[in-house]
Amino acid sequence: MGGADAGAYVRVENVWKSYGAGTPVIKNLNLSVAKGEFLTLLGPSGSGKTTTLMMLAGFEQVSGGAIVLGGRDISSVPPYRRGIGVVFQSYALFPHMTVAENLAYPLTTRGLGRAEIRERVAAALQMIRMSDFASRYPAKLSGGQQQRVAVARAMIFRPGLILMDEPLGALDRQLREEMQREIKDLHDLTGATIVYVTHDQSEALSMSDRIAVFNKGRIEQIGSPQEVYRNPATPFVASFIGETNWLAGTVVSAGEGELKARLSSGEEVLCRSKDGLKAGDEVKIAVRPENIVFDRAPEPASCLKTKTLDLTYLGLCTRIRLARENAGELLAVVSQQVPGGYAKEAAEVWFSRDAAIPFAADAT
Amino acid sequence: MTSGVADFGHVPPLPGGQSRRWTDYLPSGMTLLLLPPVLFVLLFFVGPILLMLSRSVYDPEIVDALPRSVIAIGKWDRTGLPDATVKRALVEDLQAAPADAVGRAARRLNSFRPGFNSLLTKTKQSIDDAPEAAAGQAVQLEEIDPRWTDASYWAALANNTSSLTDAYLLAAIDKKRNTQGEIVSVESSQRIYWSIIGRTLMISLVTTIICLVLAFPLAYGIVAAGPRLKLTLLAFVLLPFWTSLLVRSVAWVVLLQREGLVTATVRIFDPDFAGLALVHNRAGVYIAMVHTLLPFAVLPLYAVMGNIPRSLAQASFSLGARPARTFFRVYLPQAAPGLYASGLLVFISAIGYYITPALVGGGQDQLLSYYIATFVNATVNWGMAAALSIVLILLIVVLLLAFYPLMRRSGRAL
Repeated sequence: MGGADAGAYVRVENVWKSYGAGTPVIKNLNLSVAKGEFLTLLGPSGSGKTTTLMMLAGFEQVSGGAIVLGGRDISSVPPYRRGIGVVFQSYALFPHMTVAENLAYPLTTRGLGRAEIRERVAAALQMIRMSDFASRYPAKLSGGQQQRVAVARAMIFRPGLILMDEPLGALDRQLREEMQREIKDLHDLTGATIVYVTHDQSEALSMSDRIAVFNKGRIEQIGSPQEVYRNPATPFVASFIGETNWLAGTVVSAGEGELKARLSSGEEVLCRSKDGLKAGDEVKIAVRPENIVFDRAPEPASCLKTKTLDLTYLGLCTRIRLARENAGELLAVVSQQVPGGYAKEAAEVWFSRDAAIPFAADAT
Repeated sequence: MTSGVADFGHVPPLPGGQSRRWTDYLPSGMTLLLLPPVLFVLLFFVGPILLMLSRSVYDPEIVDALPRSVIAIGKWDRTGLPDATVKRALVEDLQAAPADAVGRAARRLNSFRPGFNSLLTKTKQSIDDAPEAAAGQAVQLEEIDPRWTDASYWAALANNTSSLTDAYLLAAIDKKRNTQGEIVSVESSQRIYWSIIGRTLMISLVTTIICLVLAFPLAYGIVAAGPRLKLTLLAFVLLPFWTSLLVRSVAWVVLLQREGLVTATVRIFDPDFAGLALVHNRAGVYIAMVHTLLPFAVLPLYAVMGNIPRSLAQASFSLGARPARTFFRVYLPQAAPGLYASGLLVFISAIGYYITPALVGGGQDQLLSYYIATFVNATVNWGMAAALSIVLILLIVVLLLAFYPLMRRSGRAL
């Protein structure tokens, strides 16, 4: 978070957006994208991520602040002069034009020569492996094929920045994963800067260089997928990305790089330190299910007494529901056989200090 | 009905993206439910219309009244006067036929050779009165009336020797058969129908263009409007349907006449205003016709434009196309099916318009349907009415055929 990086390719500076007199949908947004970066805007629906993308594209006007592209303030430049490629959720292919005509459209608007257009369209068709479909109409293509044409059309005029608004939202899971890979490959191949909007956290984690997590018109955290997953800045980020167990308690002592907390169920646990938390503060502690282990975790670690409720075998891993003594449930995900017992049997589970992330109890 | 599915509850799932015909979802017996409306349409709509249209080519009055004459004159070579057998046949016919049948035939023949009516009725009268007839002696037609020495009367009879005639259809496009039986144009002073057809097409075309020009931005506005404004605008578009066509047309007369409301309003600002006649002329016809036909232009356009995704225009912008280019290359092709549908609907309605031009138009503003109505109601010339109706139907069919490829092409990719 914080001020936009002055040297970045795209900068969103103190941008506000509100419709009429209503509450703003975007509040003081700052964001910077480096050249060639793949940035994902991730958040629940209504969090402002699509509005941000539409302001970048120029379909929505900023109510305050500025959008700078390559050193030029484009806040009031109409979309047709921004030169930004956009891939829409609905693909927005022109139904009355063939695939080749769709691809040629941005080139003819730029007044390119006929021979060059033909050449570039052929190259683009080859790139998306659809050379045989040049004279088909979009209605005669499958969802995945339409998607590929839409991506190719947004890239064919070699824009510096490409915006993608949930482009895989309408595809089934298998095709989705295939297309994720293809978009990544195109990104690597062309070196284009991509801003990608999704509400699918696994898509965000697998594709992005950085993720900006949106909530209620603000960016909660921006960082690499590992950072956002391992060091969530807010409870919202911890809950929205991946699964999280929450343990409620009170800080007993705040030491160097370490907090000791007493849970409401009575156990004392160790967790990471956090600025602003001191002895006596109410806290909630986030622990990822995969960090809850049945072997003794590497020291320093904490132990909780539980009973196994049930197991769900998922092939790659097993999900285990555990009941804590008088304090609700825990979820653990293990990739190997559980060493201890199974259903209804008492089990001691462990988690290491660095896997436990404390937040003030009233933080969101 | 297509084969396959017959029972409720056993409809196989749709294969991805493929649409079935709606009849596939009906049990086979359901098609029987279509029988009453189909029978109704055949019995009370298609049947009477075909019967009416047949009057344009079927004209038995002359053959019925003068059966021997039409056979005898068939052998005439159309040079000089027909020989005595023809004249004898005519006399026999006139003796045999009842007076009203002769009268009908006379009126029909009169339309091909003016004067025939009086000639034939006079001849019939003389023959009935003449004692020679009773005695079986030869009747000299030339003595009854010297016009029988005029070959053009005989030619008119010779041109109508069959119950089937092309005379009405030819008349409807200002043609006729001359004394030699060849198709020629009528004298220029009597050519009226081509100009009426041309006027009908012209008024319909101008009305259609004005309607589309007004309806396009209106439909776009309704599509773009918020839900509340949309309802209000649609209500205003549909408002004219709540009053009868007759009332609306009369209201325009009240509003537009020289001393009407328009003039009165202008006089508030300019007391010396002489008054502007906007009714009983072409301007009044356009105003009233556009007003009554506008909803038919707005609704199809609205339906089509409402289904054009906003993202298409956005995509065009993002690809570097300016608003004008986006409009002409992306929006207009998407709206084209609506324009064709609206245009066709308005034009076909306009081409058959009757009440509105009859009330607000002048003598020079009447459409083809006015003359059809006149032939049916006033002059009782059903053959002519039927022939003009056929011209009207042909105009519409030609128009539909001309537009069909266009509509197909624009609908293909959608």
